[in-house]
Amino acid sequence: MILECKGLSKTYQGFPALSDVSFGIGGGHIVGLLGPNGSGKTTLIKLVAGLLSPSAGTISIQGNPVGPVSKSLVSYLPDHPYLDGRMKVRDMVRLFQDFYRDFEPERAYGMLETLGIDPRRKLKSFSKGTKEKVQLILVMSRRAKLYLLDEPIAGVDPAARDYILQAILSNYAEDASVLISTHLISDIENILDEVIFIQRGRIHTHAPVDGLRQESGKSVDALFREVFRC
Amino acid sequence: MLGKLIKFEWRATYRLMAALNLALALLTVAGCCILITDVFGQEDMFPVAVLLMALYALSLTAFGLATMLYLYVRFYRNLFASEGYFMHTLPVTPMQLFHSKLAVGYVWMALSSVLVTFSILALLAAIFFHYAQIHGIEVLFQFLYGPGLPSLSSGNLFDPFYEKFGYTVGQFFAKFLLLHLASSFASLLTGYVSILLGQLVEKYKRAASVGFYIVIYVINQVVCSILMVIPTVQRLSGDSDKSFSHYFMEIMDYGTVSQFIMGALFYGAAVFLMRRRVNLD
Repeated sequence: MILECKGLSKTYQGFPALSDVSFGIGGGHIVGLLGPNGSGKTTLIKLVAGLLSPSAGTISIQGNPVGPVSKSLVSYLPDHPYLDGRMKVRDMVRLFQDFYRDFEPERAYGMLETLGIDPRRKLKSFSKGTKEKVQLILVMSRRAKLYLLDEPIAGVDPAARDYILQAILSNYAEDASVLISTHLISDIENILDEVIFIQRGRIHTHAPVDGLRQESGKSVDALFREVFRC
Repeated sequence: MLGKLIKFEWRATYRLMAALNLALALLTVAGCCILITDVFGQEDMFPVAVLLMALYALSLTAFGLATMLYLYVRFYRNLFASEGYFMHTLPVTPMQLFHSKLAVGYVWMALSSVLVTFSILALLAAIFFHYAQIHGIEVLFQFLYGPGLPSLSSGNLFDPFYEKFGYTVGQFFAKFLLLHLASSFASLLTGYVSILLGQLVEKYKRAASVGFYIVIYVINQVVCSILMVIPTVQRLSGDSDKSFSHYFMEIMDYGTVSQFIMGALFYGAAVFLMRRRVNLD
């Protein structure tokens, strides 16, 4: 098991953001973390990344509690710019190389070249979409065991979405897993192996995509709309 | 990993801090060049001299404040704002993050503090040099140490200093440097601890940090003042027959001790707060 959460709860200012969440993700899976806004997707990802501390419950990543060891196994992409915009892209590549043993600079430079991103430019000089692509390239250039991608396609155009999804598919190792949080289900449905529906901080459904489709006779997108209808 | 973090922190800060320090060094050189000329010898230049002195004093204050604020803002932004999402997902411990910021921040803080002192001393030296050029070195020493000293009798320029203050010039500067190093440490940690305390508040974290800063600053000043009152009380109660210059040096010693104590307390508080579980909003 790459990721295992047991009885995970998180409370913000007295309000429960996650309640008694338990699930596991094995190796080699792409898992969609799906839910409406405010359902607890980002909270769950931040807990696994070590940016939040749980109010209750445990998290283990390849048997390690959240800490320096687990962080060396996890590659995390937040849903907003998180790198110093004054840094040049090549300096960021060097930075990732310095801190992550599993980072492959050739892979990063290859993707940057494919997208026509000049590594000599500062991050702040790029458009919002290009900044997100740079961050994704850095995150996906690691040979991590678990990728945590929080809304990786939310802020980019449909053409860029295709590239990002392709980058995710072609860059994660076979024994690694990817946890993608999004509400743009139709765009990612085809690459998912499993889905976790999360509603009001609780897991509603955790099932393989194929099984879910067969059982319901619907696409994940259609099922999502049915489950989360307002 | 601590070494890599320190390298990263140094790379991120050195451009701005080096530019600031260089600006102060250039300002000092320019000030010395003006002062060793006779440009303020004429009476009608007096207002210009006053204006330049005021500008110089303002520049020193701005330099000190800019250094301090930059280091505080960087600590907050890099650890608790959006960049914190990167820093706290690195495979390092929170203590390594903190110590890298403390080490590099302290180097800049101490350097700027020493540079400000050096700048003032350099300008004073330029004034004395110019004065000695016009009136002679004997008159300068009479002016500095007062009449009646066996000035320059030994041929050593600094002997009268020892006779007057009871310390050699080297000892005086060592004490001065120690005071600056201790107060730089306490000042830097005042900001860091305030920011860390601000993170304990659920809303308005930045405003809370400013509030904590004011409270901690006042506490530091009160402790420092209480300790520095001791030699004054001794002097006023007549227990001490030491000279005024000795009294001044004692005040400086007590100031240094108070900053060491406060620095150690702030460091302990910062370590305790950094060890708490992280919660980035």
